[in-house]
Amino acid sequence: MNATEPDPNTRGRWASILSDIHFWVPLAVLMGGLLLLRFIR
Amino acid sequence: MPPVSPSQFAPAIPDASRSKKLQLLGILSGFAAGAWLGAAEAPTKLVSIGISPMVISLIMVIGVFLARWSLPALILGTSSVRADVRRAPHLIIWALLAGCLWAVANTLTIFAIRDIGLSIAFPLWNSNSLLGILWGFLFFNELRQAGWRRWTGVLGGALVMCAGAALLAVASSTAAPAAHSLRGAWAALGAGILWGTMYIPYRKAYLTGMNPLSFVTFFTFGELGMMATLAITYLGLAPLWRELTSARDVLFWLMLGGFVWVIGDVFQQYAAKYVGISRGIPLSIRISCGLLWARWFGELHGRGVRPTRKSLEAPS
Repeated sequence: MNATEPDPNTRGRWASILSDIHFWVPLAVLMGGLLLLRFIR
Repeated sequence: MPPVSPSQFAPAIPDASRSKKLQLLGILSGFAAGAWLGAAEAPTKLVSIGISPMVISLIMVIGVFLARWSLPALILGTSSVRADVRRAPHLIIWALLAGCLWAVANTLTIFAIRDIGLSIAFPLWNSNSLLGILWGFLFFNELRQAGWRRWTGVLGGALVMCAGAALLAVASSTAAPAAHSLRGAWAALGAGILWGTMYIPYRKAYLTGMNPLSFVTFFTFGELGMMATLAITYLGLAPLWRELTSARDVLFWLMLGGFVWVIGDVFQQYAAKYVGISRGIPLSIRISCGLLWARWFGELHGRGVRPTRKSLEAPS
């Protein structure tokens, strides 16, 4: 495999994270928390 | 070629006694976490002497960062962390995400303490354990096979905590600062939601095999990065530096709070690992510690004694 090509395993891992609800739920809550902080500050 | 015995092909028999020991270890870790995490929150009361909540949170996070880079290194060295990164670099994202959630939640708690006091804010943000139970059930199949006794224990305990929190809020409402009380309550509830959700990446990382101490190590980068960004965005570099220098008298106490928090968090992570988030997190509830600190600061007597710079500098 060419050294400049992205490792398919790495790509697969990231794809599995980005399609995982366990990633998106905390991210959405984090965004909500940042908005709340902006509001109460 | 040596003969192969049939037992080599048999599925591994789970070691019941080892499993029991690990569960007990998880339960004890949960209790220990409650004590240490509760103690770590006390310095946040310094917001009463006029230090910016952003600055308090940033200094605590710096304390956490220093502690986490020293404590895990003292216990395990750094080779296990490097091995974890080489084996599964993608797991770092869970630790970073959890760190960002923690930093925002911690900042919200400081606003809550400023606006409604420790005695009300503490029980409100400890509602995170209820969310922990919900996420554990929904996302990690926890308690699905549990009998009615375990369900009664977990839900009964959670309801007792909520009832206690409600009673506490009513009983101490006269002691709370009146202005911005709604804003403070939102801040405390928001912190509870963020902290309750933080256990999703915790559990996710452990299920995929990450060592708790490696997790803690990368967690600090998310935490410090998020907090530094927030402090610079909201205050600006020069005003932030001025605030930091003016808070130098209390730097030690705030950083100590961060250090104590790390010890509690390591216990909490072992609790999440060995007994799950639905049982481990309620065990580490720190309402009792919050009450002790609220009593220490005179909130429960309606006196609302505020610490002063002078009292903090005096030898105890």
